[in-house]
Amino acid sequence: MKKKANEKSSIASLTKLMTAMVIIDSNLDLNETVTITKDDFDRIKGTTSRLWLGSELTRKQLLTIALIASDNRAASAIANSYPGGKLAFVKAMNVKAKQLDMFDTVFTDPTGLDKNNISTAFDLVKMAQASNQYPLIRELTTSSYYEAFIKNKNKTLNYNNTNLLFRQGLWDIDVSKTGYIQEAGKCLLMQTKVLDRPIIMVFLKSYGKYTRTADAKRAKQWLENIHIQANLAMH
Amino acid sequence: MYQRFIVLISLLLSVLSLNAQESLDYSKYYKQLTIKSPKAIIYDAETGDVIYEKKGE
Repeated sequence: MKKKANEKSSIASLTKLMTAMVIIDSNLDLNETVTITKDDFDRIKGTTSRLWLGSELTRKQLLTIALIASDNRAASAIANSYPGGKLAFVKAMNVKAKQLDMFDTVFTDPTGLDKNNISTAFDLVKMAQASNQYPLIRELTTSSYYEAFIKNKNKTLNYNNTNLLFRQGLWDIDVSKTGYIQEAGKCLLMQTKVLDRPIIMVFLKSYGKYTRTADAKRAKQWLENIHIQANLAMH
Repeated sequence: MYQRFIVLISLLLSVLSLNAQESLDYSKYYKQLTIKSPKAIIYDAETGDVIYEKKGE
């Protein structure tokens, strides 16, 4: 990269892309059942979840809910199911970050609720590129909707993708993740295609419900316009 | 012969067009873009170019 965007800031649930890479790398059985325990309840921000205590889901279901709906309890359960528990999982997240040359990144929890999950725009580009190498992450983060059947509760939960751009169906997105905690503001990371070129967009510390997605739309339009202008100038 | 000439010209234009895209100086167009998020990066994953960067307010 020719320039560095190396100012660190909290990244909220963008963290969950690393959570996904670590659990996939672990080769643990994604079809194995994991139970939601009290340890998965958010004691940092007090956020809620529709995954009740005692709910049994497969790792893949949890991963899907964590990526599509950014559910914190799901991400926590994934980490708690790792050999050595959450502590070992977070350690593995930081090892993976170093492997990806994300030297300005620190992970302190698997959900992103902790404000001390910090990174830079420059490092997040690397995380987007790495995530794009995982077919399952590409598949799950770009699903607009997911229906989770919780077998032992005999209930179905419906989840929509937190990236509003999926609801319009006009984008060719490869990888996507949103995030929000007060310290991080609204965040959006995605790899998309603009005029068939793979473009990574990262927006941090955003505010308002629609600002980050409006930024993405403006950036896409801008790129399309300047390529048209450049081609016209050429011919 | 004429068909070969057309094919060659088409190929040449395609290559010129591609080169033009790869060597684009995006900074010349920054005034046309409004990004409201305080921090942002737009990155071409094919060329490795940082297209746009906003370092924070």
